[in-house]
Amino acid sequence: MKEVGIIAWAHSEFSPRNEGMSRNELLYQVTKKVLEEAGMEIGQIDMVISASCDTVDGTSISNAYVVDEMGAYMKEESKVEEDGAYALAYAYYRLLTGQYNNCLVVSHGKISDSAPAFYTNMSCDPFLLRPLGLTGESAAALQARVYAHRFGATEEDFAAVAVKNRRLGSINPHTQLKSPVTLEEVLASPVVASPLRELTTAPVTDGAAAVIMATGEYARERGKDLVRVEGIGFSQDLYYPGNKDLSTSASAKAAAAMAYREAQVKDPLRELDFAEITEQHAFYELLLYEALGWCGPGEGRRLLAEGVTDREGEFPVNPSGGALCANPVMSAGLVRVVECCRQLTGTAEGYQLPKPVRRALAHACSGLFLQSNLAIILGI
Amino acid sequence: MKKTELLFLKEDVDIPYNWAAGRYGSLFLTRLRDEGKFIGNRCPSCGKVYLPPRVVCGPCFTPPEEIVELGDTGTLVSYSVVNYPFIDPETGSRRPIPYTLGYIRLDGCDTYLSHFVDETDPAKLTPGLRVKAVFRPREERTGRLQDVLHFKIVD
Repeated sequence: MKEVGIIAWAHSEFSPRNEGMSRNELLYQVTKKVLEEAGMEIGQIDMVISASCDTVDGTSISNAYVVDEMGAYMKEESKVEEDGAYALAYAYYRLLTGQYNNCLVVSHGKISDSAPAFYTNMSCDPFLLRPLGLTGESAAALQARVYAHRFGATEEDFAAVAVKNRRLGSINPHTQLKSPVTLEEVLASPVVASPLRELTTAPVTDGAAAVIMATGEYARERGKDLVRVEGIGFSQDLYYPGNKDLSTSASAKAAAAMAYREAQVKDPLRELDFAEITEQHAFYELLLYEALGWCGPGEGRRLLAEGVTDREGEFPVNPSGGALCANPVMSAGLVRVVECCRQLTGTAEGYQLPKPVRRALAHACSGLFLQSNLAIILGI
Repeated sequence: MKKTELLFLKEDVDIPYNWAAGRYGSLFLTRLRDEGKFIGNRCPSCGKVYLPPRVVCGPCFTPPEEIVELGDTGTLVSYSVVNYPFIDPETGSRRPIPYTLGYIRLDGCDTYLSHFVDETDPAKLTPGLRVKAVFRPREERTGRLQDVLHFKIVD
């Protein structure tokens, strides 16, 4: 099969409210930055795949509004109404056709223009869930309770994820929350929706991210190193939360299985060196350890407690600090890819993993109750 | 099967947004509000003057950094006398019809501004007419495009 990978990556600064920039300015900045990283001109880009959310942007088919800023003028451009990592997946398949040399993938979300609770409530169906005022937080809280009850996990177990990731984020110069927190601080932070607390919930983040993907031939002709995409899997679960087992994520399992199959990964914990996952809530990380096949059901907290997923561990998870340190809406998953690229190329300055790394998994998700999941295997 | 009464769920969604206008957008709107003046920007690469000012010249992928002050007169490029009922996003109620939407090229500018024209008689409208901006009184201006009430025909 054709070799396809990533030759350049960038993301904006992360802040809870970027007052000085319109969404257009944010996008132009990140597009310019990724082109500089690649040493390319916009004219050399074959196509653009963007990711954004109409409700966050408050504009129907909102990519049309920012075509100039993402350099898509007179180019093929299509939009994915999902995290930017899903745009990367589409770019991957298009590049495999052999019809293109490269693709700019760019995502943005200026959540401070809107309100996070409003946008997640609007994703609920108008008959059954929206009238209850269900939002991202309350949905995750219900799922956390199911998970905790089934496996005997405690608030301390969830808090331990936040402690690990905030500690890892504290040495990542690119992230938003750069201060470590103690277990006591997490457990004393205000309850958002029980059992979720402020410090086990990802922050609100304005941001944008971009990568340039290319075929192996194109990268070699230009002397560019390629972070190879070795496998991609994505999957959707049922919509209504009452129709599925919330103690796990069947679609995360299916997505991982699909990606492992393509990348010929049999034993992910041995064959992969680390992972970056979109843990917008601390308990997601434990649940995803299990769903992504790194341990058995309910064993996520053991993996964490044994230090396996810590910076010095056998299989570090979220060495960047993860989404608990910066959660740019529509870009959190693509930022996981960016962080994998940094580690794989030895350019995670200040937070480079101590062991050599050659192969990683990046995870993105979308929808309430982890409805949709995406796994990407990257290698050098 | 017995005939079922079919229901519809009526919902008015209140959508709260607080869009950051950014640097160029804020400059354009504050000058409109405070001075009753139009500000555009010129692309250093192709020389095109944009109104309203843009973050980037799409074709050149270059920021049009030179700020250009424009007058309040221009040429009507296109227009339509709109005659269908429409809920005005400004008021939430039906906008009186007919009204005229226009495309106006301000003098010294290369792009067209969309705005209202204060004339609904098709016999009095034709492309190429000279038009002039009518601003709301200073105390009514709030830093929005609607600080310009409409354009009026001047010849």
